[in-house]
Amino acid sequence: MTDTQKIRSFILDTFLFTDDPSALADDESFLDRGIIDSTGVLELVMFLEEEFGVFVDDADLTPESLDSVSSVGAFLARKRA
Amino acid sequence: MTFDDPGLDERAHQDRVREHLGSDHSSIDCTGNDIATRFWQTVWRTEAPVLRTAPTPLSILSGLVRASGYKVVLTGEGADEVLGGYDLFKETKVRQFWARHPDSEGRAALLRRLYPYLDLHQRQGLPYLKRFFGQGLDTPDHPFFSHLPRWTTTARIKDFYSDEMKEQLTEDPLEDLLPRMHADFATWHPFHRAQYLEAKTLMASYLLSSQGDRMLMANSVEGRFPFLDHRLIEFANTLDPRHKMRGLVEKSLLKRAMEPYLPESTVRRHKQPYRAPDVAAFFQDARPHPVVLDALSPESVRAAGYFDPDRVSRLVRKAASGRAVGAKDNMAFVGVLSTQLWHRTFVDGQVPATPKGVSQA
Repeated sequence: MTDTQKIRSFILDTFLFTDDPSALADDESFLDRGIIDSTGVLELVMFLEEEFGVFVDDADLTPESLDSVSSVGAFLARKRA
Repeated sequence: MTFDDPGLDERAHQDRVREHLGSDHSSIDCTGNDIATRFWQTVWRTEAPVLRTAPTPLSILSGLVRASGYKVVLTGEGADEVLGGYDLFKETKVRQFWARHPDSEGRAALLRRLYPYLDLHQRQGLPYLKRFFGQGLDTPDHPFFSHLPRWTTTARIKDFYSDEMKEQLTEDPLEDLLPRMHADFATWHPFHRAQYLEAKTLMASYLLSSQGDRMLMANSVEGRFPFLDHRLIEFANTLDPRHKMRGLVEKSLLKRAMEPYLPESTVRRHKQPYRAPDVAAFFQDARPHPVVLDALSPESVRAAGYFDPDRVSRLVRKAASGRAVGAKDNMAFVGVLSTQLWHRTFVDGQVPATPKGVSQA
């Protein structure tokens, strides 16, 4: 599984409670869809830190970096570079 | 009532008031297992699905009252609605203030002062808070402005409905609610509108019925509600909102009136809403309580027809792994479980037995 696939499958299972890939497009905004609620962003951060071994700084917690499957993928690539 | 979870337990504050007054009080501990074991009984008594387990500990408490030989209790329901105690009112005030200058970072930063007891905002960036609490910010005159963020979160539970339910439930509940408001509602101060909405919706049907009277009457205890005395409500309705919430200090008039009688730290304390463990009550070492295995099995969920069995199974797995910590997941879990138990009781006609090894509570 690629990183993007792992991220998408985590989001689908954790926040949308499905494995149907058509439930979420890669560039759909988590905030616009109401997928990330007040604790959702922390669940996402925990997943990134545990699954990929990156450290997510408080300053990274912005909608720009963590608001869609694509932006999380790009964020992860930056973190690992 | 004491709880293991330090985020819910208030014994230190209770003890301080008890010592200050020199009163002789009883207390009773409530574990997650106590809640899980009695939850079906709770739903049998509420006769309605609920989104919180909080009624169950109150049935245990009314059992203690009854066992101590009392039949009547004074209880504080209504104080927050009538005199402006809830963080929701604080949230409304901050959002109204922010809506006048939506670009002001300083105004938006006040959002961090809301709901400190939920412990949500530590690592959370302001942009997320702004997005959540900014719902409806461009329509500050909307009749339901105060409650829109909360209702949007709660409505996410509908994602768990089965396809058939989604097809059948097409009405907009807000359109249904508007005609039930007071004729002059739209002309009132936004703070008063929030108070009225809270009293008409959550207080009447949930707090006073499901969580209040029904849990008291489970043990034949009668509640008396001094804060719901019509003379007090009529007086409070004449007050300017700033006497209810001064800056961001809630119930400020009541606090001032009670200052001579209570410990200073109690008067100064931030509003702590009564809450009980929700999802956490139904799992021990990641193992679901039998009531969950039974009522939320794919077979049971499919047979009742309200919810999607696959989504519910994923929610149960998430809960078992300890990751269902957000308000949305907790409400969805308790909502689905209580609906399933409601169906079992009132459609299938099964009645819960009194749990073994516990007093009738």
